[in-house]
Amino acid sequence: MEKIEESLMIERKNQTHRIFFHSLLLILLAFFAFILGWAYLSPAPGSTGLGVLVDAQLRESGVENRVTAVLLNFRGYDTLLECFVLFLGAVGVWSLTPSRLRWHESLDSPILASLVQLLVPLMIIIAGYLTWFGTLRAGGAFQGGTVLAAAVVLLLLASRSTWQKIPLTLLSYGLIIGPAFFLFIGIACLIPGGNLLQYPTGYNNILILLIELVAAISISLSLAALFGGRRPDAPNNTLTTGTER
Amino acid sequence: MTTALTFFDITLSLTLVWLAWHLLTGEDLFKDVVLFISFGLLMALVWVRLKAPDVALTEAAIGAGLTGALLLSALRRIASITKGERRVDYGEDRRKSHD
Repeated sequence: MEKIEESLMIERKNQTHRIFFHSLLLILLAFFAFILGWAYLSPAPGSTGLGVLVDAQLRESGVENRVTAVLLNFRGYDTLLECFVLFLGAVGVWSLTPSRLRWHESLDSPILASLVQLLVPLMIIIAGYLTWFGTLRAGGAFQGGTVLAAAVVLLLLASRSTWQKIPLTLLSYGLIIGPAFFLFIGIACLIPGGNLLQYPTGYNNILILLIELVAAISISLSLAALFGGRRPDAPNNTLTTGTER
Repeated sequence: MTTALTFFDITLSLTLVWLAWHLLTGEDLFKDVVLFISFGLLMALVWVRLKAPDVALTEAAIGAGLTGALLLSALRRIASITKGERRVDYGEDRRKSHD
């Protein structure tokens, strides 16, 4: 009898918690909705944003897409650091102890296998296209890299052992080559007397394209490493706590 | 045309708020993750409407696609670590239907 009362008490407590949490959430959401609606409906002040400024300088950037011009040229320093942040994220994941649970070798689904066969080559093409076209239209290293990463994730889902089959040195160099190349170009810009990441005139376009292509590879590998979860050479014996089959 | 677009925008905004509410308060974690992925996809549409195709591409690829995959795999791990809890019961069900 006491037990029933006790569980009723807990149930009631949970109920109060839930109501409290829900009302807090409701207030927060309403607040955000209000701010967004206000920003949308209020008449724009005299400023036209930075778009005009960027458009005026677009010719000098070496690319035709505003966003790429800002990311890779005008504010190249931010993007350089961003590449390193992703790299550090992948290093962080590799430094953690592998989780102790059974490792699904594969889902063994013929549908998934044939889907992967169809999709992965297509995704590689799309990734290359997005990266290359980033200089002209919407797209760029991050978008292309993510599509490539998604291709790797699909491969991992179809067969977990793919991750172990990639040579560790190839993976490690692949992870660092993007940020390293970006940094190398940035420092090389100092030699003819420019500033850090101030590309020499005339070489803008080709340098940005090269950086984007190399960065896309590293970005995709970093993101895939987040999904892969552990170093490919991490010992297997830590993973046998589950019911291994 | 503008009326139709305004109607579309309003529907989009309301759907986003509705999705956000349900994915944050939902009890079923798997359902929440699925709602989160759909939230990301609709958010990409919002970015398109705001004339920011670059952000829309990134949102669809990273916000919906990759984060969704990461959350799903994390959910699978949670399910196999904490046994006996409520959220795990359904995780067991899912695994059974998989095997």
